[in-house]
Amino acid sequence: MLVLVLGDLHIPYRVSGLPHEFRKLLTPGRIQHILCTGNLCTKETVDYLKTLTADVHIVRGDFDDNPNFADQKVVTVGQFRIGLCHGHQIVPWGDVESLSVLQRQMDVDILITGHTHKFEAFERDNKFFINPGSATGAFNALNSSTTPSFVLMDIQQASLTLYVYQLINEKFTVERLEYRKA
Amino acid sequence: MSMQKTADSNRSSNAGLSMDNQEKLLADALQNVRQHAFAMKRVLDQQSVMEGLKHAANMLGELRTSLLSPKNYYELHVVVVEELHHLELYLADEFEHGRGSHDLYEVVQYAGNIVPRLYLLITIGHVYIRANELPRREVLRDLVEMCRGVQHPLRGLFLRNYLLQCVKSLLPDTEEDNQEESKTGTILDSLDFILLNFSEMNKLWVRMQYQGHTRDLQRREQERRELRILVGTNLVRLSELECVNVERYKTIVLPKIMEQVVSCRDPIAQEYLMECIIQVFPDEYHLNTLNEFLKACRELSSNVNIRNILISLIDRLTAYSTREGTQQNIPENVELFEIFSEQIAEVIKSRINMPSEDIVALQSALLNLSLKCYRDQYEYGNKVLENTRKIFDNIASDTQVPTGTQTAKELVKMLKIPIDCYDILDVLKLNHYKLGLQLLSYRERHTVCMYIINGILDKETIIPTAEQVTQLFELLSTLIVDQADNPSEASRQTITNEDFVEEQNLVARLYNNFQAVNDPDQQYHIIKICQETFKNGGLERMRFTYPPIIMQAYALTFRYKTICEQDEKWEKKCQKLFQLCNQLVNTLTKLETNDLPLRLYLQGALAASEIGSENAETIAYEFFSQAYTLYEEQAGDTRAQCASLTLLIGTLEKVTCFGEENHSTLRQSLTQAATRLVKRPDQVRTLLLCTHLFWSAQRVNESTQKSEQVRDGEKVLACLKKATKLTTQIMDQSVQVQLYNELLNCYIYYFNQNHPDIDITVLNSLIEKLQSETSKISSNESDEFIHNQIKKTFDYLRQQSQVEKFQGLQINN
Amino acid sequence: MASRKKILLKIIILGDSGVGKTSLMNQFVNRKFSNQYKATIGADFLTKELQIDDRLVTMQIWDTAGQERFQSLGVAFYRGADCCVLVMDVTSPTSFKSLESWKDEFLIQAGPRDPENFPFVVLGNKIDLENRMISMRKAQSWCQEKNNIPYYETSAKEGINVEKAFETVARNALAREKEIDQQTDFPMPIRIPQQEELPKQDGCAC
Repeated sequence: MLVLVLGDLHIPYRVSGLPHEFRKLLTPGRIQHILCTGNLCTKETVDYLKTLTADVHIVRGDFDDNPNFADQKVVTVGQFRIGLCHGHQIVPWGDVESLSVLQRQMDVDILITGHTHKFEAFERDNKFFINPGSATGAFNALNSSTTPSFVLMDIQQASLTLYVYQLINEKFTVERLEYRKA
Repeated sequence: MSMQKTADSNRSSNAGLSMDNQEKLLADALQNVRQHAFAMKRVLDQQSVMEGLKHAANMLGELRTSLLSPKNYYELHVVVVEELHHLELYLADEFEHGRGSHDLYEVVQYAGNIVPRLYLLITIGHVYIRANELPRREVLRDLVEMCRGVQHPLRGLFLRNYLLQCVKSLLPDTEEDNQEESKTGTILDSLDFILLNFSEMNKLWVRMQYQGHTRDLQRREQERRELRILVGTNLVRLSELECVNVERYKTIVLPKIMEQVVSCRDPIAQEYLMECIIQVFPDEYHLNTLNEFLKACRELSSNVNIRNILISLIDRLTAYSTREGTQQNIPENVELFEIFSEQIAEVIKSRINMPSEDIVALQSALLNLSLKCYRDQYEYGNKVLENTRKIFDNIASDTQVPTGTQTAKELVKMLKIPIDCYDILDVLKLNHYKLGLQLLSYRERHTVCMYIINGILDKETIIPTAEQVTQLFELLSTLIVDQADNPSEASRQTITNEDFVEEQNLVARLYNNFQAVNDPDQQYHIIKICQETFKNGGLERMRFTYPPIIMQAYALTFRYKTICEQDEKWEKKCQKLFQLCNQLVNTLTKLETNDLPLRLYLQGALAASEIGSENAETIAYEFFSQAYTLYEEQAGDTRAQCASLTLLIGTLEKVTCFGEENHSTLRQSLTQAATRLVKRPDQVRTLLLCTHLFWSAQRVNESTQKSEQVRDGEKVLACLKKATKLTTQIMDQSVQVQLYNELLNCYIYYFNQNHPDIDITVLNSLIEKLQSETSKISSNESDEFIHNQIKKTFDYLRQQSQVEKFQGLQINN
Repeated sequence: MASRKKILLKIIILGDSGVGKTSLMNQFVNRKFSNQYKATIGADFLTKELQIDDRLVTMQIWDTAGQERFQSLGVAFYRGADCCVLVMDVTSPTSFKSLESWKDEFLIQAGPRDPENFPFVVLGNKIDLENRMISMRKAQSWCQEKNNIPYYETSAKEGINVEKAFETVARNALAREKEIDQQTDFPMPIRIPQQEELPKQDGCAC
């Protein structure tokens, strides 16, 4: 089961679009679910994600206008409960301790947040935390040199393999991480 | 056999007109053919040639019908010819085994009817030539002459087409000076043969036009169009001959074909045959006979659609010169552009009634040719665009092409060509492109402008200078400012109009491709140009076009900071950028929503803080306080207010440039704002967020001039207590319990953070409180979520109670 | 009577304009190739004899016009085909996309018995060119989906795989021919005309 995790695209306010290299990779029919941390910011971008798969989950970022996006969402894939939240509502932004509270309260195995435009993935107390970064490498006042990145999760029952795609100096890199639910 | 007039057949052919009738006629004919064919094959199996020929003749008799439509006759013909192929194979086999009879060519001349007789003659002639039974040259000549015996157009055309099929591998294809070949013939004999057959077929075909009633004209023309491929096959045969080299093509083949084409004066024939010539002969041949071909074009009937012929040739040669995988180029001595350019001008001049869409289509083909074959010679493409404009100006100066017309469509197609083959930077070198665009009415201009932007985005073209940006804006003004010729402008321009939103989002996306990569000053210049251009677009457009400028301006301050050592004015430049942004965001506050400007102000505060230039604090404070003012104006929309306050708190927690005075003003304002929210739960939750402003938030220490955390434990505790108090006032027990749980989590957070006043005792009392409150609420489904949250908190605490820090924790089961 | 009869196999080559149908046929029949592009008009066949195991077969190969305007009389010649060769140009995605419609169109117009199992062979031509756009895997998976159509990568220019592909064409056509022969051992009853020469309705003697 392939789950695409991405967010903070900020089209059109900060970038013109998703990098060509990513678009080529993201072909319809390969991905079963999309979990998006928000800041898309337009309907066109939502429609684009929906061309990749019908099952798209989006939470609201600070630059999303769409009032229908929820602040938080829980999605179950395989044996994993996955929490999704943009993260600007969690003060201090990106603070691990605060994210842990959210993870506990949402009762999820994996917590996905965005907002910092910086890819991160780590395990804490046997729970997994992912920040896919900005899929477009959009500018961020706190992190001015951002790298475009997104994450593909391959979920097989209780095991998770994470593929991290990054575009560093226009070069494509893929990193692999693994996590097993206890 | 005497030739009889054939015109009367049209009388009876009307009888076969209806579809049902046609189907039945065809089915009957096919049935007969199958029976005769079966009989033929049976007797051939028994080695009875004469009998076989008789059955074959009977079968071929079916082709004498005048009742079938061309398509149905073709279907019958296909079947007959396939069956005839069996006879041919049989006869050829006989010769191979030395059993061939030598007199068949004579024998079949006695067949009663001319159509079967000629089909048999051709079949046997074919076999005899292959078996060297008869001299090739004579037989070929004989056959092509004898076919004159069938003057009925339909039957004659199919008969001669059969002849062409059979001689395919027999036509002599050797040089004329080869003496030994005199008996079998040379290329010249083949040319005579095909050219004669061609002219005979063309005459039959043209004659159809003039037979029968004028009321059937349309149907006849349709039938002629269906039959055209039979005539075209002659040209295919010519093109297959290896000895037809460029020289022979130029001196013999093309002139002869053209002679026939021009002299027949029939528009249908002329149009089709010219097209055929273009398609069946190789590109090199055309390149070497351009003048001849184009001269002949001028001699064609005025009813011929010359546009299609010219476009077809231009397109073919354009494709040729750009074909990948082969190194083919237009020879240097062939001035392709000049030749076509002159020719097209000539044609347009001579045909006064040529519709303007045809003129544009011709110019399109020429533009396509110039851009593809002469990629770097912008003057060619420019010239085409200029000429196109001139032609229109001559018709009526300064009038636009009416929307929705064929001409408008052709013009749109034309203007898309440069976008497809060039990137936009090269298109900008075609300085007459704009003139073409201005010919169009609003709707078509809009289409082209959208196409231009999509092209840039698809190709990810970066526009690096302010000058190019200015030029591009000149092309795209239709999307950027109100258009006088758009009748629905006022009603169109709203956020609720999806088309308008899509269009302006596209412009906003485009903006991000304006990047002076290694030149921040140039980038600054671009920002100014864009701001000056976009400000003319009205507030509804600015909603889309200003945010990218603002965000890019913030990003540019970071670029200046990285080169601060090379550029001593960097702080001044940053300040100007922040001023500009402030002004732009301020403009956006006129929108009906405060959401967007508020967020943009906050981004400005963050950026200024990160840049840390000398007056960063002033700038950041300005941005932040303006955001706060907008927040206060949001009163009434509780949900939006709560979201905005959350964002203000989160941002302030990250802004590090404030001194104690400003920071304390802001954090206290926000804390008070939290308590002033309308809903209690919102008050509690934002207050909990505010605690961080007194703890991890940073401000500049006056004496050290370094940022350090506030770490004001008392104030944190004050916030927590206030939040607790507010929670006790909540009526809804479920919500209350939920908030107690959140409070507890916040206390745990500060306990983990080693807050001096929050110890195990404090936690224990909160746990006790929460447990006693929890027991009061129901355990029904709607509260299950809350119970679960609380359970998770206790699970965590139980787990932590193993740790030394948490010793003394008391949780009842 | 089928046993000693010479076997004639009718093969139809289809595909978009410019994919190399004529070139493939010329390479197979005459072992010739020319880089010059000449459009085909209507339909035209060449024959070639081929030894398949112990049988000598004559392949009648119909080359067709890829451009619709050069097919103005329709496609009656599809009828009675024993195998259909679908050609695409591996450097042209459009020509690959068109395969589907060529196949469908063929089945509709030719109306073969048992269309599910009608033998097709797909050729990906021009593999000598560098700018390939359709990968072998993509083409193969398309063919597999269509009831396992054999797929060959060919170059008419360099004569790569042409012989092999047409041999498969002949074998598959032959296999079908046999099947159909067994199904229709006896021809339909013959109605012998009363007179050898029935007078024609129209007065024309030709």
